[in-house]
Amino acid sequence: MTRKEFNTNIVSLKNKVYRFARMLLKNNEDAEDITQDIFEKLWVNRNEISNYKNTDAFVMQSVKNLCLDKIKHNKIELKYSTHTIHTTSTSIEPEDDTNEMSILIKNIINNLPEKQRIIMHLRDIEGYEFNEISEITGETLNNIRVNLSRARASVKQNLLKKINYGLSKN
Amino acid sequence: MDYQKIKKLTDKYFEGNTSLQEEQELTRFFNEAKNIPPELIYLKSFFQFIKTEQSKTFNKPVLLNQSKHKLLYRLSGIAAVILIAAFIIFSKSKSENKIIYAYVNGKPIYEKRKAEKYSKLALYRISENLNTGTENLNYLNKLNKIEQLIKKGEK
Repeated sequence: MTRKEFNTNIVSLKNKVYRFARMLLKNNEDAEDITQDIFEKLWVNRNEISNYKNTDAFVMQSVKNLCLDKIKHNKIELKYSTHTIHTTSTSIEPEDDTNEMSILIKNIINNLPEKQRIIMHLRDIEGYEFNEISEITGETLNNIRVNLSRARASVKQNLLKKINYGLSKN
Repeated sequence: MDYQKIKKLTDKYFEGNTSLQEEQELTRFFNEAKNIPPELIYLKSFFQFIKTEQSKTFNKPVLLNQSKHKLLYRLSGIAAVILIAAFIIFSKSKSENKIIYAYVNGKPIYEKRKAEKYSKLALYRISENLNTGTENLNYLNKLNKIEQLIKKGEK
């Protein structure tokens, strides 16, 4: 794979990669680092990419694995350190989340179980078909449907609860 | 889009049964429509959030050769370790190459003069002990004299 081909077929996925990493890691800086890392790794192993039918799904699967490894690593680090308690907590990015409602929605989504969050992101933000989500996550189609509906229902329920609470408070 | 249709579509969405096209329709509707039914107004922020998230981009350049720098970094680290190790081994072997003139109580003596001094002292002690040793042999002379006297008497 030439550099030009790599740029056209793989680096062109950088926004998807970044958004996915950002959702998984809940942190902009870490997501930027992972985005950079993933393309470096893929460039080094560029000859293997052609073995995969759906390179898009393969790249997203690599992002998922790398991010989950990092989360695991952070958890271990956190276990042995008393100074980095804030590292895995939800970070609120003031530059783009000035809207109170978007912060609320983000918090609701961030509190969903990991599997539900991943599936909801791949479907609602990236617009993947169920079979592609299955390829990325390794989950069955039925599991994907169940987790997606649970995630969406949970968001709706929490959103209504917060709004009703806000209204009754006022 | 009329109320009934949008209500049906949102219900379908939360059940996880909408197609990608229907989901795009919903996102478009809640982001663009001016008359959203009050019952569904809470979903406006949600679909606005979805649209905002979809537009997030990675604005930094993707550097593919950074690993080369990382490799260089690692290699320079390895080189430094090798240099330090080589220095230690070299300095150690250099000290081992020094001439050991003598061992005193198990300790090596590298200075010639010191070794000579110790050697002289040791030789002096040996000769001293040798002298005291030969002094005791004087009794043998007495025995010799007695033996000669006995021999004379026999004659």
